[in-house]
This record gives sequence, C-alpha cells and structure tokens, in this order.
Amino acid sequence: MSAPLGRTAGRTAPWHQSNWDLRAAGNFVFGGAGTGLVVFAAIGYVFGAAYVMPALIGLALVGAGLLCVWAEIGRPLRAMNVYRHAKTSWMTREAMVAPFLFASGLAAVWTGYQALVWAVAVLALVYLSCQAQMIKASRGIPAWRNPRIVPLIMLTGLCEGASLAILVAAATADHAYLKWLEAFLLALVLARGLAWYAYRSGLQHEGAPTRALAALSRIELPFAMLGNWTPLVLLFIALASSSVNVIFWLGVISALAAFGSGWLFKVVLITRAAYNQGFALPRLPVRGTGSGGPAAKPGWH
Amino acid sequence: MTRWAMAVDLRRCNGCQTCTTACRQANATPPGVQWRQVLDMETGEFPEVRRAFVPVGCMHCGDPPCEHVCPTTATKQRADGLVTIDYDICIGCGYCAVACPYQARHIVHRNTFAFGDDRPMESELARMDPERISVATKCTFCKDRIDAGREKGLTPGVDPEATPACVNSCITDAYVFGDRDDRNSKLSKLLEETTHFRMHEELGADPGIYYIWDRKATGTGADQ
Repeated sequence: MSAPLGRTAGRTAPWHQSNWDLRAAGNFVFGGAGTGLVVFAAIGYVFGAAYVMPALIGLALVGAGLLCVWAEIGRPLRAMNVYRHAKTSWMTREAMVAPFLFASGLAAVWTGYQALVWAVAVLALVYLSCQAQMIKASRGIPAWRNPRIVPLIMLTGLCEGASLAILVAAATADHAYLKWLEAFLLALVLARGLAWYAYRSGLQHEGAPTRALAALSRIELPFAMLGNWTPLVLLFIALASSSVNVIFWLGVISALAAFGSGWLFKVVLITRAAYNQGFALPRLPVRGTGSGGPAAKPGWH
Repeated sequence: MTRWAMAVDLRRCNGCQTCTTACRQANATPPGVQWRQVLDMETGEFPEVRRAFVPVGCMHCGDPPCEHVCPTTATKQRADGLVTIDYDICIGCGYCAVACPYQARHIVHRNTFAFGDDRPMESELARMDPERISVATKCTFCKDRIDAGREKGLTPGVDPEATPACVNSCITDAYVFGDRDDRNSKLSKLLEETTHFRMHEELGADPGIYYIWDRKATGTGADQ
C-alpha cells in the first residue's frame, strides 16, 4: 500500500501535530495521577488508612491538570463555553464531571462519610475514562484513535494513583497498609504492561505513521522495562518478604518507577508520538494515456 | 436535501496554486495559513516516478469528527452539509484540529503579515480580523458566497458569484462544485461518468471532496 516518500513530497507524510503541547499533556499527566490517587485514597480508607492527605493531593493534581488546559486554550476567558456540548464531546463531559468531583471530594474530606468517599472514587474513575475517551476520539492522530489506548490510559492513571498512594503512605508513616497497596500496584503494572503490548501490536497491525511507532519504540526501555517490569519484580519480592525494610524500600522504589514511567508515557504520547494522518491517495491519476498509478501513502508503516 | 460537495479532477490539476492564492485573497488568511493548498506528491523511484497534484482542505465531512469533539458547539454542521465555525464561541482548545484526519484546521495566536510584523500592508490591516485570532479556522467552501448567491436565486457551482473562489479560479477546470444529492447537478453527472475516490475514506468521516483519477471503468486503467 505504501510508496516511498519522494524528496519533494514535503508535507504529504504525517507530521507532528502542533496544537497540543506539554500543557495539554499536563492535563492527562496530572488528571490521571490525581484521579488514580483519589481512587486509592478510597481503597486505603477501607483498610483504615488516612483519607484526607491522599484525597487532597489527588484533587490538587486534577486541579493542576485543568489549569494546564486553561493555559493551553487560545481564548481562556471563554473557558465556560466548554460546557456546551455534552451530547458528543468527551472534553465537555470531563469538564462536567470536574465540579462534582471537587465538591464531593472536599465534602468527603470534611465529613469522612464512607458513602461519599466511594462516590468520589466513582467520579474519579468517570473523569479518568473521559480523559481516555477524549484521546481516542481524536481521529486525526493514528496513535491516539486506536481503541486500545483507552485501557492503557486508564491503567496508567490507576498505576500512578497506586504509586502515589504508596509514596504518601510511606511519607506519612502509614506503613500498615503498604503491603495492600503494593499488591494492588503489582496487579496494575502487570495489566498495564499487557495493555502496552496490546496497544503497540494494535498500532502495528492497523498501521500507523512510521515516526509515531519509532517514538513509542524509544520508550520501551524507560517505560516498559524500567517503569513496568522492573517494579513488577521488585513488588513481587517485597510481597514475598516479611522484612519491613524490604517492603518499605522496594515499595517506594517501585512506586517511583511506575509513577515516573506513567508520566513519561503520557508526555511522549501527546508531544512525541502524535503524528497526524498525513495525506494519501488510493490511486495515482491517469496522466494522458496509460493507466493510473499505485497507491501512495508516504510515511506510513 | 442538499449536500454541497466538490470534485477535483486529478488528471487536470497542474499544481499552479491559483486556487490557493484565490482562497487566500477571498478569505484574507494570514501568512502560512492555507485553507486550500495543493500538495505535490512525487512517488516511486527513477525511472518509475509519478507525480500528482492534490488540492486539499476541509472536506466538509458528512460525519465530521471535528464537530463531534468540539466542546463548545462552535463547530457545527449545517443542513446543507457545510461544516462551520462560530468564532465567537470557539475557545481555541485545538481539539477539533487533532480530530480532523485532513489537517484542515488552523489556529494562529497573533497577527502576522507577509512582509514582517512591523510592515503590514494596507490591505492586510484593512482585512485583519481579530475574531480569528486564537480560534480554529478552516475552509468554509466560501459559504458566504453560497448563501448570498442563493438569496439572489443563483446556483452554486453554476453561477460564479455563488461558487467557491478556488473553483472559480481554477485555470484547468479541475474543480467542480455542486449538490451531491441533486442527480442533475454537474457534480453528480461528473461523478457518474468518472472513477473517483475520497481521501482516507476508511476512517468513515464521509468526506465531501471527490478525487477523479480516471474515466469510468471500461476495462483499462480504472479496473486495475
């Protein structure tokens, strides 16, 4: 299907989108980690861990993500117009969930009422899924529109949340629940690793711009190996151990790796792998006499 | 129903860029922003090299991804199929731009001028539109001409006054504009008589620009 890219082809091959930069990535980075942390704050609460600190940090991260978006848009004073299209726009839906998330989150922190804590966790999951669907709905970017991006984004957010929950628990000497959180993180990094390979094989199978695939290949080592499979092994060792020190330090190291790699992945996805569709012709036109030429799809795998 | 659409005969286009210039003149787009551009696609290896000139722009899709994702309803689809942007509502989030598979949307964040920011021409100053700064813009199929022309009883695609500027300007008559749903329109008849495709049709957006690459299949060329 693809033909070699000629030297004069110019911008017919996919080029990187220039509309969403680090500020847009910030929404997914902070929003994913924040909602994940809110979810794990609720889970920790069930086991008797402190709720206020992780929940507040989670909400602050979500707020930071929204501030990033606000800084990105061309007409920030019109930001409220974002609420006008709930019928089909995932960006509107994300924005609609946000006030409920903050209001119920603050109420849960204030009252400690368990039903409210769970309601906040559900809203956080909804917010996270809006973010994942938002990326998938971007039909102009092949690396984003693949349906397998949805579980990957959601699992990445949850991994970051579990990691942050471990770090918060470690920092606040709330060590009694570390093992539970580490068990959750182990399951999540395993699922995220599988989702990563499913996503990449989906892109290979369905086709994607060569440079987008290359950008994703470049994070195989830091994201998949160091950020995913290494923590998996470390967490396994930590969970098998009865040493408090081993559980603590391996948990912290794993959390830092899983958390940092999640952020790296999202930054790369938005600012490095977001090559657009480019232009393609299923047939080249007949010129004078003779027949038309074969298809031309420069820059595609 | 009416569905305004366009056909581009790739056999005729010679890449002169007159349509690009006409569009820029008609719509006063800033430097670097071309709502209608002509790609120069060269493929193959010597001696089997092929070249095609391919006009592209907003496809005014029947199922526009940009309209679905727009959080503000600034992007809308009219009953006649034209996809429009309300500059007063758009927040410039760029979501439509990443949703468009045809790279048809542009957002500029400041005024620029052809001969430098400190040397605007009088014509540029006169036609500068602050409403178009930091919001999404794109080809409108010259909807103002279509609407004004129809009010006068003119037929878009037939009467130049009601026809998009790029179509009027084409020196090789490569463009044909008209109502896809009217079986008697010049566009519909041409599509009947030729072999054509739409770009990225597999993405399911129902684009409104048809590319003609051969005459109707007769056993040579078109059916290969």
